[in-house]
Amino acid sequence: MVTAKANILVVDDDEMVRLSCRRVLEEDGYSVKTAENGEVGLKCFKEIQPDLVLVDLKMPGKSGMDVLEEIEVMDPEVVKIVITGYATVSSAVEAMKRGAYDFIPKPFTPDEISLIVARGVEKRRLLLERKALKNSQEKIRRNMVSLVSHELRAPLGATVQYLEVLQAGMAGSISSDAKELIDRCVIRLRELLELIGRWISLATFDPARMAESFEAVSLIDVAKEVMALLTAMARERSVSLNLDAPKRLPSIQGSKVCLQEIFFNLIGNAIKYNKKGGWVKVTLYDEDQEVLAEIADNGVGIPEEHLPRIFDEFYRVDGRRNAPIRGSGLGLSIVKTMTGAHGGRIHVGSRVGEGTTFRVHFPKVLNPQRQN
Amino acid sequence: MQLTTTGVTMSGMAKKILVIDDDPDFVKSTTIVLKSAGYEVLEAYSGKEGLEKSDTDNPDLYIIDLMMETYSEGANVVDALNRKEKTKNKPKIMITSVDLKGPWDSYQQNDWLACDFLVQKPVRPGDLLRYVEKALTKHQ
Repeated sequence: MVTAKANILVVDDDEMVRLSCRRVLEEDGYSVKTAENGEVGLKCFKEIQPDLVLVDLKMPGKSGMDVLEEIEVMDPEVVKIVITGYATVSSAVEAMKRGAYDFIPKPFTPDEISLIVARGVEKRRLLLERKALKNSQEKIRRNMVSLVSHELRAPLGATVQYLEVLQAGMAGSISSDAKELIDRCVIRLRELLELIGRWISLATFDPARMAESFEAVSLIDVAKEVMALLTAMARERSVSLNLDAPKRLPSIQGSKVCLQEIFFNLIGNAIKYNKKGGWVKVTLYDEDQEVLAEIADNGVGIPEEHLPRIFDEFYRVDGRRNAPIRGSGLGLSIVKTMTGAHGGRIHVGSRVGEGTTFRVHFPKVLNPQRQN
Repeated sequence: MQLTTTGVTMSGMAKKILVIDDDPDFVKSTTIVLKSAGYEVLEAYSGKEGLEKSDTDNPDLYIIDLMMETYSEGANVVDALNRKEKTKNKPKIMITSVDLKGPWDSYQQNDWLACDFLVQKPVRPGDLLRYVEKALTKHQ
């Protein structure tokens, strides 16, 4: 936080300028550090992390413009003021393009430097306030989402657990008629839980914020982790799960959690929309500029007329409420959205009664324009 | 559905499980499941109560909910238990209503590594008993 003692850094090869700035600004109550050229200036900047920097445009060695550029990258919230020997419009404009807040032409009076720095420090205060507000709003929003999710899931979870205790006969014996009804309750409630989870994922998905957490991710790890989570479900349905990947697969830039969500939805569907004794094969390919993840199954397949719309929210091939297999209707729209946010693309091919194959391509290197 | 009988130790004494959760329905359904497998069950409805009962009753295993008085109360409880000689090597299972499969970033994964298993609610009776058995065996 900027207090009365804001930190100022003055970078100028002219000793008189450094001395007079120091005198005036220290009198104004600021803490001042000076540097005699660009290189030293950048070193000082990294050490003291000032609130405001005064940079002379014309210096030997590293130019003022270069210093501005490098500072902008290191800390976009620092206020930069340029000192110009010639107050030409073009140099001032150039400086503004590099993030300068204002400029002051030499020679300047003590009052002039005092005033311009005071305005700059006020600007700094506002920038920091805005950053803090944004961060706390983000935190509140994320806590809100987790709170809502929790508040919705908790009563459902409690109900499902009681029902499953009844199902297991642990609260006394029940008639087979009663058990049938309880079974239906459990199925419908677990569907609802699934829906809440996926809906919240989709509704709160923020590609920009996700992109901030991008790191190098190995799709082999992602596939293995997701398949471990789904092993029980596959076993229950007598569906086999297989992963085929090269020994070395280049990593891609992404959010591990979101990539897990993508794989979880695709592999989960492949298991669900399958038959007893069926298989699900996940194959990873190293393809020049991209990594390809192929999720194939020999399950029920998707009729051709539905293929163009399966990525739509809540779109269901079998829309009946008592359909034998029923998902939330959101899984594929989540997959499509998240794949796009990774700069990737997804294709599907299918034949009714024979199976379905999803192919997801991820670029190895992120081109900012490719992310949509 | 198969029930496990590891509730009873070699000497015939039932293993004691402390369930810590501010949701009384979860505590009740979990207690029914655990008792049916022969375990002795203790209940606590807050992190504070849980730590007190841990001191007085020396449970053999802990089942702890993540979100109680505070967002990460469960993690605080696990932390406190792990800092005491008496309880740092006891098996602990964290359970939560939080959707673990979603893009969840409010909690660091490390919060959970300090316990043996992290389980999502609602948990099926058979699955819960399997986790308990595994955790007890791990720490023998």
